[in-house]
Amino acid sequence: MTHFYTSVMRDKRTGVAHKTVAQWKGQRISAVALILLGIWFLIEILRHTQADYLLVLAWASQPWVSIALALFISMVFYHSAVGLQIIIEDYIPSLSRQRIFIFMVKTVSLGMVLSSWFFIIRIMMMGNG
Amino acid sequence: MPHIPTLTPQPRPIAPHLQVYRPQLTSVLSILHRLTGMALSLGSILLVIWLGSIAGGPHAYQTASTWFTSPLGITFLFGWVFCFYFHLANGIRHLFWDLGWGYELKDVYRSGWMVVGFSFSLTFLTFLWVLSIS
Repeated sequence: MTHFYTSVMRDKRTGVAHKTVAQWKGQRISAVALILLGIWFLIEILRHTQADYLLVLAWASQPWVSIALALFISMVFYHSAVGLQIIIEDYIPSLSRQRIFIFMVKTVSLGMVLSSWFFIIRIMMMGNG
Repeated sequence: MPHIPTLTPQPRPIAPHLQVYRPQLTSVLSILHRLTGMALSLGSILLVIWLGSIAGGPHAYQTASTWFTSPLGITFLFGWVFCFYFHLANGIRHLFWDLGWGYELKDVYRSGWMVVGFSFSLTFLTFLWVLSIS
């Protein structure tokens, strides 16, 4: 019996097709979230260009601002990790090198998200303590 | 001889590389979307450093502010502001394409020039705004 494989079937056999779909959706959901969060953040930053430390601390330690900041930074690094992964997959031909670079991107992104959460919690405690 | 289906992985499809294209508005904007995305990825690390400086206290914040407001710092920040506006506008253009809108060649060029106009004029307006309050 002869088997015919389309490229999609081949991709499904290697077990990556469903991940790619989830990533495609995640990229767009984070994109829509970042339209709002990004514009919000830029406006806030521009409003605080002349502010001194205490004013910035008072702003950043407000509960809603902390939540928005944590959400914004998490979305930024998720969106950036997916985007960088796609660029790596398109422009680095070697599969083993792809894996190394993608692992590095994910590790750095996760580290950035976790440290920003730590900083945000610290800022909340400093501003309200 | 019977045909035996092979399970060895075949080479995966790869994207056409940049050097085979003659630059056009469409391709230039597509490449810029990726380049600005990469630049913004780098810039977002600075965002975490900035948060860390607030968490680090007045002295750390002062040090970070001195870097950010140095001539080199301001140049980089406005570079990122441009990347932000461009990636934002072109990203919205991509989201419209995902919904199936704006695929006519005429519309692709019109939305492309809108992205160019938006990102340059908003970068300029942002620069004027910062200049006016400092």
